[in-house]
Amino acid sequence: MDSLAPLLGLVLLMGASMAIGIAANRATRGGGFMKGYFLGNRGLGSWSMALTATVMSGGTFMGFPSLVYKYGWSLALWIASYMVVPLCTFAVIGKRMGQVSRQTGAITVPDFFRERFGSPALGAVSSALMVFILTVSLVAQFKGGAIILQQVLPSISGISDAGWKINDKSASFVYGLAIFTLVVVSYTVYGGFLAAVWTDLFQSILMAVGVLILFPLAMMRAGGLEKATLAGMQQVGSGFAGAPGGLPDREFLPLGLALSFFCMWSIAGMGQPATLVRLMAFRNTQILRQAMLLLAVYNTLIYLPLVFIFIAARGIIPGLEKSDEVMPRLTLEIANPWVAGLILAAPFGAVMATTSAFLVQISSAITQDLFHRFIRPDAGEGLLRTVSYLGIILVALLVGVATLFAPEFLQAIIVFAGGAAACAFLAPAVMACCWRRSTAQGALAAMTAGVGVVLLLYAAGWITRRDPGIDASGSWAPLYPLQLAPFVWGLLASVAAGIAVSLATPAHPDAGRFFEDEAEPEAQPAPG
Amino acid sequence: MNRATPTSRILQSTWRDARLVIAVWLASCFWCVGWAAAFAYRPDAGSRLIAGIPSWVVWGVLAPWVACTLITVWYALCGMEDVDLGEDQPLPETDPHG
Repeated sequence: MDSLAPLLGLVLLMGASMAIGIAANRATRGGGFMKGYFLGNRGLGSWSMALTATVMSGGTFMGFPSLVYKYGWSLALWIASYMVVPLCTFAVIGKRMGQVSRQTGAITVPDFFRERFGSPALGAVSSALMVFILTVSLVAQFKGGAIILQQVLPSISGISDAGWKINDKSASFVYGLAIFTLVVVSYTVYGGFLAAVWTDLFQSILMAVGVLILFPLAMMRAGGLEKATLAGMQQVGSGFAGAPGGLPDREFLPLGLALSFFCMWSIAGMGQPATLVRLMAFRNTQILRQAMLLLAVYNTLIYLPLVFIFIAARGIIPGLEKSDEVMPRLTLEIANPWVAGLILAAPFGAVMATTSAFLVQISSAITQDLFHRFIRPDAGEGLLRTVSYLGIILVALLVGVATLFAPEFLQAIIVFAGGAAACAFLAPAVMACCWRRSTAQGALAAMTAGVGVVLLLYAAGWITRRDPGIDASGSWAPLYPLQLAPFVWGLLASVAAGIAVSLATPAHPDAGRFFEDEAEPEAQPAPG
Repeated sequence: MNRATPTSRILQSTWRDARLVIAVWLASCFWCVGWAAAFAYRPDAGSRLIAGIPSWVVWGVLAPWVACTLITVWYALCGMEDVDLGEDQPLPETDPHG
């Protein structure tokens, strides 16, 4: 019975997520399908904003621990800019995103760009980019979900002993992937944006609980951080305790990349579609302030202990071959099976929450920005509802198949997709909010130049298949000109193209309504 | 009924917030990356541990992390100004040609 305990923990979590999906569906009735399903009727509170608007995902609880285990203390530097993420995410464009999205009535991120700049072409391009980037990003989440279920499922007879494989992925991985896909699609289809946000919130709290339980258990089992650090140095060399970190034949984090990732997490976080849509959905600025405070405390409670826990893992389970499995393996190793079920629910929850949030965004881009806008402008609510559900199901199936061919490190996909998204949307969003002279052509140039440079550097890396010997990506590695990550070059290109093209094209005639005060109504003359 | 804050004041308030964020971001970036450049990228980086943590992590990451968290908490509680963002307008009718 004990061996089924972790599985039962996950089943309970999945049941709770389904229940949340049903509750969210009921809560959004009455406000109109589109605004309720895709934006939660612009009513997000501080907890929902703080714990769901940032970039916590399967990467946080699966990919990041894997890198800590493999490359050691240099990951503390890699993740350091999370100290400024709350300020960057909420204080830079939060108020203006909230104001402009209300002025335009925008429901989705492409709506926002289209209405602010008066350009349907810009809306269509941003929809297409969003669908592409988020779909790639989902592969990492699906892989994370399948890995956790794979670790839990083998105790069931008939699954652990199945000998078949698909592209080197075992039967238990494929079963895990299928169950994960089914559950996450069900509650997302039913509950929409609010279900994604509520489950994200519920699972974020679960993650904090999981980390806080795992931390003392790992420290006790490893005999303290000093012993674990020394064990790591003994296993992989002195690089484990310093930078660039890790193995003697690979510089995980040269100084250029350390600077790149400092920019990446803090700045790229602002430009993620999931963040931007939440900045359109908060209730008022008090909520924004409270969210900033909550996130500052939450990040401190999560990221620093995660580094400590997975440094300790080196002393507890040395020589783990597939380091992406370190989170579930460590948990099953050090915790009572019932407690392990609860702890494993944390990374599983992170993966499920991110997946549902991305699926809703992809569905909104397909339904509202492409289908409703370009194919059937006269579509009724029933048809839109069907298209959005079908969109979620089809994308989930596509991603499920792609997951069978995913690269070794989860985090490599997350870094690629996160960087590409920020290079596509950050500069146009800042221009839309803060620069009156910016134009639709400028925003379009910023979007395409940013994502184009990132794709070019990755494509060049994939085509040459030359492992640069830095970072962890291996055969997924892009080119790193001057040892700076593609995100940095993409963002520079995006900003430069946005400014140059805006200045070279005629000013947007309607921009004044987003930058000028409304005229006071004229005083009525007193009667008689 | 509340009246929306004038756009000029929201822009001013946004710029004030952005200036603080840029200052904190630059300071934390120089502190972390600078400290690491000086003390982490050398063979003896792991030779001095404080409570099992390499000293470059303590002074180069944990210390600025605490400082940034305190600044964020202070700004959220007392520094950031509240504004009224106005009423939600209806999205214009769907028209593929704008």
